[in-house]
Amino acid sequence: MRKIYLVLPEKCTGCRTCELSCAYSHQIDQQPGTPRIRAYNTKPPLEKGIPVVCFQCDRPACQEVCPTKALQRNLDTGAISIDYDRCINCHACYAACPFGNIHIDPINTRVAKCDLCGGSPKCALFCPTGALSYK
Amino acid sequence: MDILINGKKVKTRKGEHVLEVARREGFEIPSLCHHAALPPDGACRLCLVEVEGPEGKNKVTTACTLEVAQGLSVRLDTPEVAANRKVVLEMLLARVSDSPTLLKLADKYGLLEMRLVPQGEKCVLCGLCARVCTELVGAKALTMEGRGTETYFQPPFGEPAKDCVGCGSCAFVCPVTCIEYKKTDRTIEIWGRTFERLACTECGEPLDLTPEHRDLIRRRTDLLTPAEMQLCGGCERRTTMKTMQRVVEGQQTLETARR
Ligand code: SF4
Ligand code: SF4
Ligand code: FES
Repeated sequence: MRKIYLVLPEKCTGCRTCELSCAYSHQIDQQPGTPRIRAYNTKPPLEKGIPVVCFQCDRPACQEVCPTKALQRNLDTGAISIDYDRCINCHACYAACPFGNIHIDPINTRVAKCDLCGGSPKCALFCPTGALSYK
Repeated sequence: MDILINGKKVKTRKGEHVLEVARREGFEIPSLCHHAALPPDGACRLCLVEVEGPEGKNKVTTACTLEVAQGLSVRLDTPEVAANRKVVLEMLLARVSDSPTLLKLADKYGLLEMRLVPQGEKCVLCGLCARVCTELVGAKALTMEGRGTETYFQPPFGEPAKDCVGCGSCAFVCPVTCIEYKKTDRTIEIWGRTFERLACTECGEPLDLTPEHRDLIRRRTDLLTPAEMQLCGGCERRTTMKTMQRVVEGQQTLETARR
């Protein structure tokens, strides 16, 4: 059975380890990529955090507006992932996602989103509190 | 259906073309006019391969337009392919002499001598810009005009592109980056037009989005309101975060958070 990526915001401390592990698992030319997950501190300093990451929606706005079919659901992981060979970098998906979960990588201005690391999400692996898990 | 590439047996699906199959298998074939999201066009002539025919009657053809077929056997690096490719490159470089993309290819494929007079053009006439704009973006702002040596890909009549939405996709896919695309804090300039950049309604950050592009995008889905499209990613995420916080703190249920 397909695994579930589970977010339990009540356990998040806002330490942002997820952002770091994401950046390093999506490198561009050996530079860390833009994190596809962001953890926000609700009451500074670090009392509590809330991670915001792609919901892999049932009806994804990003996918509906993509003119190249570059955004497709990976049937193994359930993640909507970007086929960069098809993508023409029109940024329509960025404009469409209502939750802010499409990012633009400042290194190459290309769009980026959570792909569940192809089936082994590093954020869940490194999250020290269990706010993120994949099982 | 299996085909042979440089003698190696590789799996293909019906309707695929040799270029995409070869690249998937890790073979290198140069190209300028190929794009994975578009049907093949055969415009640049760089993706040459040699097809083995009966009784040694081989022919050189473009891999992007060559459909896979039972018993097909192609070679990528024969002397014939190399010689033909050099001629193609020589002509492309005579047209556009200062393109780093072309110079790199010339170097890689052994073009040593230039016999043609440089034309000082910028565009290699691959046509990707117009195909992307028409077939993918759907703005139909660009066409091919003129013929022969006087061919141009441009907005109709060379006037400012009235159907352009300023999305920048043409400039992104152009293999020799010859399309001028200029972004300032408030505007996007392309094809003789100056577009207003929408600004985030929350923090004022300029978006990579023009009102014209927003309207075009909205025609592809019934999910979006213009207001939703006019927040920057950061402000959208903070809104998402606040909704999640209310759910966590019990002020809102997941059902009402969901739209
Ligand atoms: S930027 Fe790429 S993935 Fe996003 S909508 Fe445009 S073509 Fe599709
Ligand atoms: S910027 Fe204008 S001309 Fe270029 S692809 Fe977009 S709509 Fe077409
Ligand atoms: S890629 Fe085949 S002709 Fe351009």
